[in-house]
Amino acid sequence: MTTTTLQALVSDLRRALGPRHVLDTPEDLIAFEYDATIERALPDVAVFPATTEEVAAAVLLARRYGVPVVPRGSGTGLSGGAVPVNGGVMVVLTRMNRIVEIDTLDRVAVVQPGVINLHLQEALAPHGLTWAPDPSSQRVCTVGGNVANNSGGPHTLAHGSTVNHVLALEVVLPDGRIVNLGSRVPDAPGIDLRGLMVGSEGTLGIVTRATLRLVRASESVRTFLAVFDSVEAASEAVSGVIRRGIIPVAMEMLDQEIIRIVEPRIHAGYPLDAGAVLLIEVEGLAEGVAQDAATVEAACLEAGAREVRSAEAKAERDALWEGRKAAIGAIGAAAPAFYLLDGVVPRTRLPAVMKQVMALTAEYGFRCANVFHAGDGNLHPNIMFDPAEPDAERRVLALGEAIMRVCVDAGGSVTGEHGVGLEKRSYMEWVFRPADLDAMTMARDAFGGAGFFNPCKVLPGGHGCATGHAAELAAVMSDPRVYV
Amino acid sequence: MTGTAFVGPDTPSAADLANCIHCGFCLPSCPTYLATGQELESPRGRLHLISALHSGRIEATDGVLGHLDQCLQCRACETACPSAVPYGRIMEDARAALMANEPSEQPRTWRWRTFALRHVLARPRRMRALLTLGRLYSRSGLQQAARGPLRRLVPARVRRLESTAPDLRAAPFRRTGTLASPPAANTHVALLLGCVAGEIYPATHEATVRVLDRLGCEVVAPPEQGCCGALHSHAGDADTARALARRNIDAFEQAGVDAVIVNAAGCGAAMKEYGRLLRHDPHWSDRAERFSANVRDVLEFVAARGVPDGLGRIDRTVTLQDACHLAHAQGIREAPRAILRAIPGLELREQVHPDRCCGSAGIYSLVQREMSGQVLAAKMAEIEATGAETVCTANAGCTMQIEAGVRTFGLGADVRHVIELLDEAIRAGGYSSPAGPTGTGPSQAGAR
Amino acid sequence: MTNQPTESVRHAMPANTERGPEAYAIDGLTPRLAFAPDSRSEAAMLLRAANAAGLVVAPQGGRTATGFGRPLTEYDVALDLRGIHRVVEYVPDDLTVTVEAGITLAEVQRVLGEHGQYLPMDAPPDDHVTIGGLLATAKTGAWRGHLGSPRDHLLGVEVALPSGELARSGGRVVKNVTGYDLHRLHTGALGAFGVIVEAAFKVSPRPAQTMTLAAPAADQHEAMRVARATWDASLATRALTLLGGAAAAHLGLPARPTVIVEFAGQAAAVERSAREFEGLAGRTETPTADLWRKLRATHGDTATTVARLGVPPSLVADVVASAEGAGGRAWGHLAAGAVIVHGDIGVDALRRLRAMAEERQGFLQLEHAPVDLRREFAPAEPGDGDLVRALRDRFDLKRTINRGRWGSGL
Repeated sequence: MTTTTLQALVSDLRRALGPRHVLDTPEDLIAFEYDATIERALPDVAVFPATTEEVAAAVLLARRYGVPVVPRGSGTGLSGGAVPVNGGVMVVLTRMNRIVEIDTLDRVAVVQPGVINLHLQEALAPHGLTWAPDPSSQRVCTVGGNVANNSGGPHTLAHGSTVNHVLALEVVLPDGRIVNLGSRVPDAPGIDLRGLMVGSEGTLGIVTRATLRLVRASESVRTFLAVFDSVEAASEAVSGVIRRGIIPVAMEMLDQEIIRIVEPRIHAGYPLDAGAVLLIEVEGLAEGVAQDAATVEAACLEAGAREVRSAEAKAERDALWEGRKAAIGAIGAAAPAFYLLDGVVPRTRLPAVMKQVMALTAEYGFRCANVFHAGDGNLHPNIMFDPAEPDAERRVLALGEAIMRVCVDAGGSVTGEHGVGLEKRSYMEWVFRPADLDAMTMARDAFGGAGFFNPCKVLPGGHGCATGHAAELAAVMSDPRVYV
Repeated sequence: MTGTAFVGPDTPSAADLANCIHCGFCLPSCPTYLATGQELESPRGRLHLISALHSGRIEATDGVLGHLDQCLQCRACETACPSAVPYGRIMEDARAALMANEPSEQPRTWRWRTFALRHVLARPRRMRALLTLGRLYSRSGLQQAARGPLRRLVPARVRRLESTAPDLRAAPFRRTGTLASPPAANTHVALLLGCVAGEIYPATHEATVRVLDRLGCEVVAPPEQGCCGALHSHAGDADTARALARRNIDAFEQAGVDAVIVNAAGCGAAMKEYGRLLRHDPHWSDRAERFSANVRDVLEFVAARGVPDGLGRIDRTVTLQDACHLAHAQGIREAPRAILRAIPGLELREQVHPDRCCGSAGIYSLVQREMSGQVLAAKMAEIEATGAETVCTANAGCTMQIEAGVRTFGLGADVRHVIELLDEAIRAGGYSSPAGPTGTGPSQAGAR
Repeated sequence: MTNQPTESVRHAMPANTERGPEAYAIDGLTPRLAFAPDSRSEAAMLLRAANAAGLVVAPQGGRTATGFGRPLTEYDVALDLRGIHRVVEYVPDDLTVTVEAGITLAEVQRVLGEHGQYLPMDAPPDDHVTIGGLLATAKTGAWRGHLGSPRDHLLGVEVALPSGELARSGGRVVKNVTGYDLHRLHTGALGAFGVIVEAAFKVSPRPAQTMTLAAPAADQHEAMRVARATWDASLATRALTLLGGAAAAHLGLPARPTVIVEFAGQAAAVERSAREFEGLAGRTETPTADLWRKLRATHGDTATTVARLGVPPSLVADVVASAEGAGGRAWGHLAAGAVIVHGDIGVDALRRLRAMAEERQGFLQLEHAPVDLRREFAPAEPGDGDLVRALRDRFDLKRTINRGRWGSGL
């Protein structure tokens, strides 16, 4: 885009949204070139709409000037989804942060996309209600971001991902139309465009309002810390619990490497000499929880747990969880840089896959800390490295790719909850056949946003998009920062 | 690329900056991000700007400085940060390294601020003269009138500014030398008097001295001491901060005490960081480290020593406003609570976010009035929700800001330092200091 | 029309897959051809051949929902999916199963039952529905509000497209955000974007114990009070249904508004739930064992009109009463806000009920009705017309699959 065109776009946007809500100086725009990954790209202009109509106006202007639109919430994504690789207009939704309605009678909440997940939970708590998605970033991520990425979290195991908890969406489409998908009552007849929109990472539309399904907080919750000598034993316990007919609400694993990073900082009570710990949570009626608790304990002990601690009081449970929630961030203090992966495998393949991951990591000469949703088979290997070391970046990327291969070969997938974004586009061809990707492309094209709404995300290829993950990464690797 | 905007020994270290993994966990802990929803007013955004200044990607334009200026330096982000990014230090370093440029290259907007801090705050006599003018205003009855019957006659702008001014009717605390000398004293401590605290809140010093006395401490106040330099550090005037630090280290070393007691969290945090401030100075770095290791916040000191027995009842509901520089900078959260809980009859009602900044932040409330007002409004809503009769603080700046908030929002609460409540409970328990006020200087014990 | 198009389709398919078309009539139309392929690729071949020949295909399984949606406007070829019925993969410890679309729910439950597991789905009329049909219609029953909908348990699908391609979305792992969730789009789409030929599900452990109780109430307000209190008590509930008096009578219970509830889970939790329910309701009865089976069969009755309303849970009792006032039998699954109306009620009553639901951002969908009624009264709208048309244009430009089911041009 030429400077004059950009200036014209900026002044049109200022007229539409107000001068204070449009940023275009380079020193302001650099705060919108990142999310929580290593990817970086500057938008041409960033706008801060306050209403759905302003979002639509920004979309129409971007369309008229032929520049891309990229939505952004809190910028905590872990796949580069909010990084505007082709520049354009960044639509920052943090001003749209109103909880419009909480209907306690029918258990529905209506929120704007910029509402922070935890703020919603805090507003619901007095009513004994919750919105189930609880990503580890919930204290900062927005509901709009959760919807765009179909976010999961530790409690996805029993409650499902975001899509299971979204009733309806108001969306601005690439042609500027404002449409309502789904309905306030579940199972609207007709085509489930709501289900397609959730997880579409801003490529099909921009969510400007979400109607959410709430659930009642459980009467009784118990959290266990089970301590094992090895990841294999802990994995065996995971299968053992499931085999006994219990689906806990969460089963999270931390391996020795991550325990040694997180425990000195957070003091969650994880034994430093453990090979792995499992955090297991069961909830429901007190009677059921008591019965499940006994079963969980038996399964852990049978798998070789050296200790099973149980916490029922909220403060104690929070302490156990604090270590889990802060784990990824704590790696930042422990290593000059790390690369966080997100793969999924069938639960029963966990022990074998973990062994392969550790062997590969050693083969490539790195250390790897694992903290992940074991119950879902959702791995999060964190490869720690020093970018100053010669050739480190290339080897880290190669290792990441090798681990992703292991996941796919085990019948799994390349992202369980972080999204495809920029980072995993090139892996899509490992998981899907050309015909599968063609069908996805047809769906995207029906919305009219190809090359316009969040270009170069989700699907591989695309006009003006870098050819692969490695090429994109190499471009930003000169930046001496951390590689999440 | 224009080259780095930073100059001199205080340039932020690349290692500190590299710790940030951009996870964004700091965002919702930041009062200015909460008020604006704007990445540029968040810790992560500011760190990114500082990194870009560091690498020379951007220049220190007024816009960039504006974003750095909006930072309260409350350091709540450090508590939230899972990667242990030393944000407060990075921000202070960045400001110092910008100020270390040639005068023509220094941020223009920062120059007058530095001037005021250097030539008033660091000069006790000028400071006192200014405050004496204020005291005349308070005592004349004009202040009461401007806040009461004549309220409508005062232009709104002036009224807003006026409402932030403290009530200065009480006599200042200007005593030095030995302040308390209980029989069989087994511990010797020195008290930091600070630049304004004794002038505005003499009752806090009085209470501090009496509590230490009750705990069997001999208390001295070396007359050569001065301003701690915290505000200079925050503003990037590292040279003045270092000069003040050296003066204080000298003064307190001579007193030869077991601990240096501070009852203003901001000052305590700065003095605990003298070691780092003087790390490049071969003559002073070791002395500064030793000095910092001896600094204690009064609440930290009292809680560690044990709250005295025989406390009297205070039937009152209170809420605690964690001073940012106590909770986030010094990591002290439990001590003030332990003290309050020890007082019979006192009911502690916690705010939803007790450790969220009130917007005072040193001179921030003066130079960033709009943002400070927004942050204060959010804080007052939390305080009001507790319904507490008294707001407890641990820092003179917080007291002043919350008093202003109480007036502006028409809350009935009074605002007191935690140590004053403990003092009140000790006295309500029937204990009275065997020794009367000692020390040299004007000794007009004023009750607030 | 000449015989040429049908001949080209016949030519494309193995002879042993052809069936007599008489058994495949839908909406009063008998197709010219019928095929029951043995494999997914054969199903895709049939679609490609029909698409090329310009013929309209109606995919079908157990034929329990052929009166769903608008009447077919044209119908040339029946695609009987019951021959594609393998269990592709079942790993009990992963709690996942992958099956072909023609398998019946009963067969899936039998296989899973050997490992103490099941698919928590109770679509009407009974377990003889095929998985493909269950997904294409997205029908649900009494468990829906407590155990989720088929969309919630679905991990991925493979569909056969009119182009002859087989396209997958999702996968077989329980948590996956790789690519667009086209499987959600296909669920409930009546084949608009392809014919589901395979599906992977997350399965559940069977509950250790179940118990059904009924609480007859003096009137609908009392019934609603009991139902609401039961829902709010967060008991080990698998089904919580408010029956109108006529519906209760139809099930052989006294003709009064009645709350029926099924508790499922650990024995201790079920027993405590039953105690609390008795406390809330005052008086309860243990109905005959086949109560739920009868209710489900009534929901799936193809001899009359069946409508499903979606309303806010707080409105369920009012809607049940209105529907019974109009001459139907009605019951509401509280947690899902789903009210089922069964019986020959007229267009005017349907319009009133639809207006009542829409006023509260709900809806009314005809799940089964005579052809004439479905011509006069739209069974359901497809959603945003422009988007649906754009999608249909890309997946099935010639409207080869189920032409007209979603309205003219769709």
